[in-house]
Amino acid sequence: MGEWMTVTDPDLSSESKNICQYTSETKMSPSSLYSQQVLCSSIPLSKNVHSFFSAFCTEENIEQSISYLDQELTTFGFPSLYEESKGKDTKRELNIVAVLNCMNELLVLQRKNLLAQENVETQNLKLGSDMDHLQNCYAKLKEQLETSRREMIGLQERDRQLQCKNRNLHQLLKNEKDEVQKLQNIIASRATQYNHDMKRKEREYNKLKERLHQLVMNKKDKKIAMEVLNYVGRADGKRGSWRTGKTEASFFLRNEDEMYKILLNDYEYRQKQILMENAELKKVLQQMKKEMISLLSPQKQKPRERADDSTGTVLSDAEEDAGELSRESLWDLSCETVREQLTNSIRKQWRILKSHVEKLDNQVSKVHLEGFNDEDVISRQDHEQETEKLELEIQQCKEMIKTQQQLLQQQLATACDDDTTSLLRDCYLLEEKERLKEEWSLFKEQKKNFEKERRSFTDAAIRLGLERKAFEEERASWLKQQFLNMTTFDHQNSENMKLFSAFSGSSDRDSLTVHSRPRQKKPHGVSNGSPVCTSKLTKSLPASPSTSDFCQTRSCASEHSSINVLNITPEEPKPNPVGREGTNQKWSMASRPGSQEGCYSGCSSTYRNSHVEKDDLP
Amino acid sequence: MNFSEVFKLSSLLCKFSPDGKYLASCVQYRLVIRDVNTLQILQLYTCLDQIQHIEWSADSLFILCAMYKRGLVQVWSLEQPEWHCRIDEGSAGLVASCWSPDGRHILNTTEFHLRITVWSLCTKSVSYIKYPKACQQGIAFTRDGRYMALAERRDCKDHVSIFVCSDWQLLRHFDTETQDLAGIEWAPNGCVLAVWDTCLEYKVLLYSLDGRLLSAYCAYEWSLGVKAVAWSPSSQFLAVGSYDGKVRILNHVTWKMITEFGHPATVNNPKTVVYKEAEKNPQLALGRLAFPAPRAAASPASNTESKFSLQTLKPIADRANPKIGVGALAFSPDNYFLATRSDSVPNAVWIWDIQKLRLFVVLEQLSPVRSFQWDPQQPRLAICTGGSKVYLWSPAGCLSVQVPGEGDFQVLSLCWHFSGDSMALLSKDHFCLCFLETEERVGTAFGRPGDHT
Repeated sequence: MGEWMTVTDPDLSSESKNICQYTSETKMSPSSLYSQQVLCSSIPLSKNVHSFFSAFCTEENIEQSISYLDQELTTFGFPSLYEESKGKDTKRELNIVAVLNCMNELLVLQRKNLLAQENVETQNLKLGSDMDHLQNCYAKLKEQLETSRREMIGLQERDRQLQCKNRNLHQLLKNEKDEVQKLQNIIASRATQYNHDMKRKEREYNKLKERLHQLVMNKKDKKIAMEVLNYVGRADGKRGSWRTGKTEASFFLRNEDEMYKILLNDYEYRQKQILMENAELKKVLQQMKKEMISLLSPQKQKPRERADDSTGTVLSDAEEDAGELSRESLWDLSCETVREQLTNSIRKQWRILKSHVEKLDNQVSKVHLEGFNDEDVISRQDHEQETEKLELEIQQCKEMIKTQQQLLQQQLATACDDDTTSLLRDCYLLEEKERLKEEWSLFKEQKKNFEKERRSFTDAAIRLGLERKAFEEERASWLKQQFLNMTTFDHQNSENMKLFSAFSGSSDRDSLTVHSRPRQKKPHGVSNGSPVCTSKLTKSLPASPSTSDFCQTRSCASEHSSINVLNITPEEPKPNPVGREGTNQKWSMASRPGSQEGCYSGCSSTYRNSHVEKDDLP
Repeated sequence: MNFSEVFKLSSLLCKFSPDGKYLASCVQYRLVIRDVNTLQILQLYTCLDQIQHIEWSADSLFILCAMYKRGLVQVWSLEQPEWHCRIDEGSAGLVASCWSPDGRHILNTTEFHLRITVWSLCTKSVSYIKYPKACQQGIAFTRDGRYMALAERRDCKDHVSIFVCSDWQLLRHFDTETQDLAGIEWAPNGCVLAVWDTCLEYKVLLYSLDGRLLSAYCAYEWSLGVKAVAWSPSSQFLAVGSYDGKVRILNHVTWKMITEFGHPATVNNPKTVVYKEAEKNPQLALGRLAFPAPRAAASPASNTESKFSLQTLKPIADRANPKIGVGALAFSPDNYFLATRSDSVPNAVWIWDIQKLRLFVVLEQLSPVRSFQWDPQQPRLAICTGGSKVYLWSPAGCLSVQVPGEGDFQVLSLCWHFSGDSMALLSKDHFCLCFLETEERVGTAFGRPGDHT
């Protein structure tokens, strides 16, 4: 069998000649085949094979080899090499046609096999390299896995240690807490014990003291005495008076009186001090107030002009208050009404001052922002565009006039050549001239008109801008009112809904005005995150973005929402551009010359893509 | 600055008379009265035993000498040298003796605080007050001398009795909400009585003259409490020094804490001036200004480093009366400054600015501060540390003065003359007077306050 293996393989790779030899051979005699000559091949393996084949058929065994080949071929399903025998006695003739057919078939087969082999080899190579690659990958991944496993183990170990530590610390903490509790208990018990003991001891001590007192004092101790040469007078010069039962009460009363007098004096003194302090503070307050009024009065006109009633009235109030309080009689009163007035007016003024300062701050910030105010820029752009357009038109008109002039001149020049017709033509010329003049004036008028139009247009644009601003303000105030009117949160939601609808109503009106201006940049910018945008809008309704923006974003959002709805069912790819694209891709993938596997992967990737998109959008 | 010659003294008994004319000092059993200006001996009285306590009467006419060991009090008159009075407490014993503010009564506390005997020098009358409490500061007279508050202990409860000093009648008697009352002190205006509890509990109670409880203040619990209390001369502030090393200042309107002054061992604020005493050559000891050099060395240090650590004492935790907390504090007579000493940082005296309620100056001495006392007339603080120097601080600066004389004069205590012109420096066996310059000369001697940042 081993020989067969060696035979079959080169058999496929060998040329048609071999087959020819094959067919010419009749007998199979492996031992004798070795001595044959090499026919043609540079490959050592095929050399052997050729030598082997060359030994197959010789002059002598043609018949045998033919019969052998015939047998072989018939067994493989080829038609017989011999002609159909007409008689049994006759020797079967070799059918050349059949031989050639067989050979051809064999050759075709051979070629096919060769191709297949090539394919297989390349595939093999590919697979080999793939294998290598995968093995490398595998090794790498294994390494990675190993390292990560090690890392994980390390981390786990650390985690365990930390947990251990934590547990220990917890235990320690608990122990400490217990200890603290214990110590506190001990302290408390000790304290009670100590107090108890102290009381007991003190009682004993008191008893002893009492006893001692009795013993010492009642003995009529002769020693307890005072020797004085003579009694001295009292420091205040009065004589000591004996206390009797009668005078005792009066003495006591007098003492009490004196005590209360002292206390009263003290309180009076303190009250006086406090009053003084109060007066001082009041003075400071009044002064502050005056200064505030003087500081705020120059700005009085401004807020009034702005028709901001609240501040105006407050100011006038403050003025009145100032007038009232400047009277000296009220000044010293510390009654409650005055105090209230004073504090109220101060508070009001403070509020005004605060708002004023805030306004100033706002103005400052506005001034900073003014340079980048987009509305202004846009209107200017419009202006510029408009003027450009108009100028272009003028230019065109001028050119037209010029060409006409040229034509006229040419005509004139040609007319001048002909002297005879000149006279006749002169009248025409005059007519022409007049007509030209008329045309000129007409053109001039047109030009004027154009300019007028231009001016009016700019005016209209300015007015439009103002109107828009006014409208926006109105809307903002309305919104604010609406917002303020809302009481509960649920309420607010419903209000929001209403607001939304209101906006959609008004947006049509607004969109007309907006459409007159070329402003298509915004929607593109917004379209990226439209769902977010809409949510934002509902949230920030009170903040009131400009209506045009709102309408645009809203339309954008509606667009996207429709897309969303469609995208949720990617299996129906009819109106969905994304879905169609996906299918297109799929087809192109399939038609590409590549393995089927690749095609499948491509298909799956497209599906995935569509899925991803679907996920992204909502 | 001039010094008198050195006189003998025993038991640190040396006192100026309230009117400032006389100076009483004791040598064993002799009482010597000198003229403050001339220092000549005006009177010399001989007592029966070694004198343990002397006290001038408020009118400077009498002086009492107590001999506790013998239970005796002898009173001498300055006007009538031949006049004498002897009070014998007999077997009851004697532990304390003091004048009543009128200068005509003497209050003697018997042993074991059995009673207080009130002896009158005008009449033969004797009054007894029972149940006085044995505590740190149990008797307090108002500044005007009208009333006396006395801490009492009856039935294991603290009480305070307020007596009218003119006739010793009981005006008010009320019990205080204290565990174990430790001291009482009248506000200088005589209308508020501060009562504080024992050191085991932080509690300061404020009573009106008529016995109403105005307020109770407790800064913290479960720790050692009040150690020292001082009223400001204007009665506006009550400074309470406690064992946690802080001084809390209460105000007189709401009786709440305005601020608390900690006494950390490091001074961080660069605005605080730190004066550190430095050793100098003994040859230069006579120089009156030992400080300029150290001041120059110390104040830049406090400026640049902005941190200055003081020497601290590690308290012994297992002993009674630990050396921690603010043990001494005193307001300057003009209310502007408060001087304090933390017992755990014994070498330093903190001086606080009461107007700005912040630390103003820290003085660090070489040895523990024994005592300090404000000049009665101006913000000037005298400090002694038991060494041979006396230290003076005023807002203008700081100086130390070596006490002249042969041998070592260890200043253990000092007391100002009420005029602020002189002070008596007391050592164990001697005393001398120190005369300070008058205002204009003081200015030059103190130098300029160049280092107030």
